[in-house]
Amino acid sequence: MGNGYAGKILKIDLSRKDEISTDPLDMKFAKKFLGGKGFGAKLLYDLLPPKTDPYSPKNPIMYVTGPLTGTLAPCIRYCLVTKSPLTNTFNDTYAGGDFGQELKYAGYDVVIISGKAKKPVYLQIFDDDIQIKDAQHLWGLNTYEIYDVLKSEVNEKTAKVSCIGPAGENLVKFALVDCDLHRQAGRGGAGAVMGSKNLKAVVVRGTNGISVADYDRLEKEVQKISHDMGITDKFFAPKLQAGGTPAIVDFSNEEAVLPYKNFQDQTSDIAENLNDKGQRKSFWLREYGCFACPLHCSKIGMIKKGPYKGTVCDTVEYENVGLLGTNCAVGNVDALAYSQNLCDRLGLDAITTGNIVGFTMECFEKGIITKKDLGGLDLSFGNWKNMMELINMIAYRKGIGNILAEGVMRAAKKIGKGTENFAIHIKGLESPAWAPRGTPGVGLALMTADRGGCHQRSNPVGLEVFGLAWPGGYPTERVSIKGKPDLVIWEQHHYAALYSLLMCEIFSHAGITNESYASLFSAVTGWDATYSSLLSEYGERIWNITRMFNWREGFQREHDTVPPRFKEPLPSGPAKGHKFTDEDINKMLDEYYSKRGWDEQGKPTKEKLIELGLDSMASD
Amino acid sequence: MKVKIFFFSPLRQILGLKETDIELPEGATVANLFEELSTRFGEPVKKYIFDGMTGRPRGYLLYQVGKKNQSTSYKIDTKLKDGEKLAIMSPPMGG
Repeated sequence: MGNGYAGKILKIDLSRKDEISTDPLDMKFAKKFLGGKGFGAKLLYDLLPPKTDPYSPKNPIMYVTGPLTGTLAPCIRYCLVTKSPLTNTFNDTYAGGDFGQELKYAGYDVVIISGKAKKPVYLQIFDDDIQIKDAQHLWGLNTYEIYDVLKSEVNEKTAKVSCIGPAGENLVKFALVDCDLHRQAGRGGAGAVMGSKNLKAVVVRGTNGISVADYDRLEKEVQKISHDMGITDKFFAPKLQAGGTPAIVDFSNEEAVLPYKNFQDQTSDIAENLNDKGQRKSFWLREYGCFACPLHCSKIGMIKKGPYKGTVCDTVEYENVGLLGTNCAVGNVDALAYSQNLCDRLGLDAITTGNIVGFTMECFEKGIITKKDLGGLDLSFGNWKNMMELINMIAYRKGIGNILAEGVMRAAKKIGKGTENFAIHIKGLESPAWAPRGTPGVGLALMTADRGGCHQRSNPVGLEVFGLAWPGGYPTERVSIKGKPDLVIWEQHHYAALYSLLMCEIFSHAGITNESYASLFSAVTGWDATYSSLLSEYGERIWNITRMFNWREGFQREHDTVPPRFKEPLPSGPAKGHKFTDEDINKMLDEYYSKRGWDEQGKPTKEKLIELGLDSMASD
Repeated sequence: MKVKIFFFSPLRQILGLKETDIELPEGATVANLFEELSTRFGEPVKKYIFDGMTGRPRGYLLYQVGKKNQSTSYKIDTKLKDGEKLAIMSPPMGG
């Protein structure tokens, strides 16, 4: 076993209870693909035949850790990797908390779950004791209800739980996987893939340690990170710690990148109610942090008044402020908190849900969907009471909820009547709360993201708005397309490397230096690395694997685009009037593909794949 | 009156400076402070704290120092007080 790795891959076929086995982790594989996203990308590419139905028993769902998981290194998540039922692309979705660390302590770098159980089951992983257990009594429980029941049942209070809610059971295409109550692997429908396998939950307990190459160096680097982030300053409470991700709202609203009324505009008057100040005043009680995180950006709270009084809830994260809040014109912060809580309990990705509710509200506003279609609901923008009803209908596929549960792309196709023009998605993934008119680099990042229009693959909004250079790069002008392909390529490699180390990107914006990532990695594994080598050796390689996966599934240049709404002029804000033109999109893509060593349709060339050590993919 | 400014990422790296004192007339606002910072430190700071397209001062970059659990950004017309400690730092991203 190498330093930083547990040394085993656990393989479980739910179709056959006797098919539980472990393989030793090949350290050559580990050194080439790092962990997290890198492990998941290569494994999924090799394991899954092209064009496989995501709900096929052949589509694995993989729990993946990385070399830093379970060490002193701060803010390490874990990821779930599978083919997305929402987009049919590669899908990697991440969660904090402490489930990943527990899995590593149980002795596993990766757990690959394939097949389909005949009836609902849950998986118990207690070190080497692996059991597939009956979960019929758990089927139907929401993610909050299952937690205590399961921990009591396995008689282990310190066990960690990862589970799906009713949405996952009902194969809602954007069902999430909940982790330890307060963290969610939200995007792309990993929860629906679990549901398709009749797998309700995974409960894990581990008692092993992780070997570290240079403990003193690791400890010093962790102390340096705290200092760099200002956490050791006696007089200063870092903004992210105090405000969490809702502290982004003021920036986002003032710079007009925050969706409003289904992305019709990108700024609004109601945003100020929903920022960190509004949330703290209304319901925050205490801070909450993930494993080994010095930041504690999350908060636990309780709604104090109104119809949802007494509901214990989390910070409404920035994305959900933007989608369930401003995108639906909901300015009531208590209702917003409840709507996020409802999504979490039912097991729905709140980003996609807010996007789809906003879409449905615009359909209602335009008279395309009526009260009759909605079972009597008035779904005007801002009607949060009825929004809650619609969220329930989606999770249980009731009425029009059955159509919306397929995601906005398929719902618009089914509803027709021009609704595809305001269905805000890229490759079927509903756009996040970074509306890109006026920041073309954000647009290019969304167009080329490997799991559909996602901000977690590159989100250069800050560098664009402030005209700052990226490491090793140069400054760009906010609304110009010049230089944006270089900027996005750098950031995609940055995140591909970070997500393979499983570093939290919230943490990465809090003042940690890029060289610290490499130093943590070297201290733990004993392998030499610099920030630059992490990007050039791992980031680019891993980005090309996911592109090849998607290419094999049929995705190419025509799919790298923005929704029609982003081609309309922006109505207000500092970038008023800006929009995406086909000419600008094509110019950016031509340059982006060319600089990546891809052909004009966006396929990595054989030469590029061989250069990256991906020879086996060069003939695909 | 005098206010103390603490620089965080990215201005700390750009200027190579952790903190500085700024003299301002009584009743000065955030906008006045930003103008003074631009005069003293020139283009790199000006480009960061003012929107290049509209000239709008970015009040959300400014944070009060030393008060637990405060994270409220200032408005551009907020009046500053003598001895006030302020931090300028990039807005967080992600979500």
